[in-house]
Amino acid sequence: MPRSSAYEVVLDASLFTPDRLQPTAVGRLAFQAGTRWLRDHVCGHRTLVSEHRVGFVLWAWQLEYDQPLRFHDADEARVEVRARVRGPRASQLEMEMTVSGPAGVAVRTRAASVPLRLTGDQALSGAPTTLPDSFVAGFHEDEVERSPYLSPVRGLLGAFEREGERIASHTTAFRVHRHHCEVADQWYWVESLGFAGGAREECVLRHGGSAPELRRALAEGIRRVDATWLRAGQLWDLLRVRTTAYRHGGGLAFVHELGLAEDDSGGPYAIVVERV
Amino acid sequence: MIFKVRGVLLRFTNYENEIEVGGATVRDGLTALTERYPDLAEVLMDREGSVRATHLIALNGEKLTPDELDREATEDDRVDIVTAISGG
Repeated sequence: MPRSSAYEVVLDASLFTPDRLQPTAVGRLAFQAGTRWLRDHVCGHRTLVSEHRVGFVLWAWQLEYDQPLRFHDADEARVEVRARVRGPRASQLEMEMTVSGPAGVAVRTRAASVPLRLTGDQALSGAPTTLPDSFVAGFHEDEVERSPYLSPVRGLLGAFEREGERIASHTTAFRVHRHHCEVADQWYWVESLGFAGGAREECVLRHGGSAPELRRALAEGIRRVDATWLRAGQLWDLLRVRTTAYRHGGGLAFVHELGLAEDDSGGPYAIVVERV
Repeated sequence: MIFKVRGVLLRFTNYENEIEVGGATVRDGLTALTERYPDLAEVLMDREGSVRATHLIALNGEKLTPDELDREATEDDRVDIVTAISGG
């Protein structure tokens, strides 16, 4: 049976919206949980970076809300996390996490990262690689999956365009400051969920009068997030979020494309899809 | 030419993000830049003195290969240095 790490987290008010865990709070819990699993069962993240010269870049993440968990429901929640190596050439590390409260599983997340061979410089720069055999050897047989994880984001975008109806679009700008960054002075991926959420609210503010259904995004909350990261936002980058809201299958979806404000023809840095 | 420095490299230039240097080519400019900021040289260059593959050099938005660093550059040209990927 795949190994898990399970522990309690104390719930504080900063983790919640009025009716659920904040997506950014879930992201932080997920990153912490994945780091803990690595430390508990294979190799600590710090050791991996400093001694084995292997880093990870997150390229896909999913969040799905399930049972209710509000601030007033509990003092603590139970976090459980598992990990797998994925891909025919061990090219991905997948982490699955659940956060459970009194009503059961409140959120599920799945993260897929790709490894980097670090050059050893102080900038932690690196190039894509496969997971080293010595690292993969730390996983049990049932923690290695030969098929790769495939992000649903591109498929969702196609489905919204084919089957959905555009309701509104809006663009916001922001700068990546240091409190948005991780140790390598590039954006901490969780913060890009925050930039996307902020852009959604700006879209609702701007267009909620002409399209009142957009307000469902705040009244009902987000039930699912699918995100993919293609390039890294870096310290002091001036970025913009292009948000498009769709009516699709009786639901509401927001597509956020995050990229440089000054177009460099390199494509988006990240795409975040929020569904209501 | 004006070097634009971003992200993880900023701490090696004392957080100067637009740095004007002299030189007739991009390579000359890189030499002047790394002489001014020796810590940057350690991050940017490998032991042979070549730009590490994990950093991209672009002249006025056009990415240069290592063989193209001898391209001429004037004082108004812009040279971007971008770290392709960093991983923690």
